Amino acid sequence: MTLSVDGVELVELQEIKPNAPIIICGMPDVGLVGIIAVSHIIKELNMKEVGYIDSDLFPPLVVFHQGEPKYPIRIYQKDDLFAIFSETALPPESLYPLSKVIVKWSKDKGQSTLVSIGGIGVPNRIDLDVPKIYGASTSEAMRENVKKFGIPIMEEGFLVGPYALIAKLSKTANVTNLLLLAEAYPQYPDPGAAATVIEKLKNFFNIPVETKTLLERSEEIRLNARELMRKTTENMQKMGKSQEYELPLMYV
Amino acid sequence: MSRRKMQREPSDFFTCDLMWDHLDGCLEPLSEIKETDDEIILQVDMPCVRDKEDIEIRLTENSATIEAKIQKTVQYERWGTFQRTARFCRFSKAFELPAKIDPDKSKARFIKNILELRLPKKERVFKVKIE
Repeated sequence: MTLSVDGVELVELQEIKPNAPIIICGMPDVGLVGIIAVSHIIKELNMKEVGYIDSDLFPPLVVFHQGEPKYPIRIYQKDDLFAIFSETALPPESLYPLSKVIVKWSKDKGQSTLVSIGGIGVPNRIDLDVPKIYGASTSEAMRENVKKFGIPIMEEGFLVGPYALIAKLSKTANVTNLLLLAEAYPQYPDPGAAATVIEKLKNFFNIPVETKTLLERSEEIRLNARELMRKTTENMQKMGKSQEYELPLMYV
Repeated sequence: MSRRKMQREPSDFFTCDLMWDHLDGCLEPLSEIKETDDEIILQVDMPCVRDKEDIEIRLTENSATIEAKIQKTVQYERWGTFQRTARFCRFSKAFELPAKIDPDKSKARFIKNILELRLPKKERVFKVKIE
């Protein structure tokens, strides 16, 4: 099955018929929190590659893993858990159609929960041993659930980037989108923040993932993800990520 | 002084900066420079550096150079498209500072593998009371 939206194609390598799926997203953003967390979950759960997303708007590249060429944005599955993650930085102009295809696919799968895993850049991250996690959702019921799990809700403020678009489009399409955002280094890969999000996620959805190996490999991940982080930082600057630090006008 | 020039491999046809120098076994760390009225704060992310003893910081009034030994040589057996063995044993980066600093009064800390330098500016900003 191929789903095509505004020049972005989502291709299922086999027919996917889930039952109320949980779809976790790891896109290049603050501290690469989503990418690090989702790639760890994929490895830990030994999830199977079931699809990919491609577009002329993406950088003209292919990634080789064990000799096999792969699309940089891939979809993985284990039972009713799906993971979408990108292992390349994405140009700002590709984010809108990419977000559209992700939300449309989630909607088509029926009763899905689309979970965006990301970071919130905080200047004092160096002094935080355990970063805080904030939650946000398009669904009031989900926001109540988030509170019950002791996760504070992001009450006010701007969000810029792929997760902002996914949230906006999910609201329009009536898809339940949950955002779990960890305090993170804005410009350095942050496996510690990724591990903290996974801990919340595993309790929230009962996903059996341990973070021990992630934390053990933390420095290696930081070392290897430098170039992806730098390209992501450049793209975040282009898309006006600094607006997240501005105060919104809330009188209307 | 500009950032340490990274050697290009196999030739200098790239338009983007690479963050490694294969010939010198050296990696460029991620970094961030912030500026307040009184100081410049320079942060450098240095995973795999064992402790502060392995870091060398050189300051002038308008530049900072950071060198650090990586705990265990990082070896990639089939590095990138070149498919060669590549080894990296240190970080290196030189910074041009946005204002003159006082190197003698500078402070450094190394926490969670992030080096943070606080570099007081030579020309301070003074507040003026309105009469």
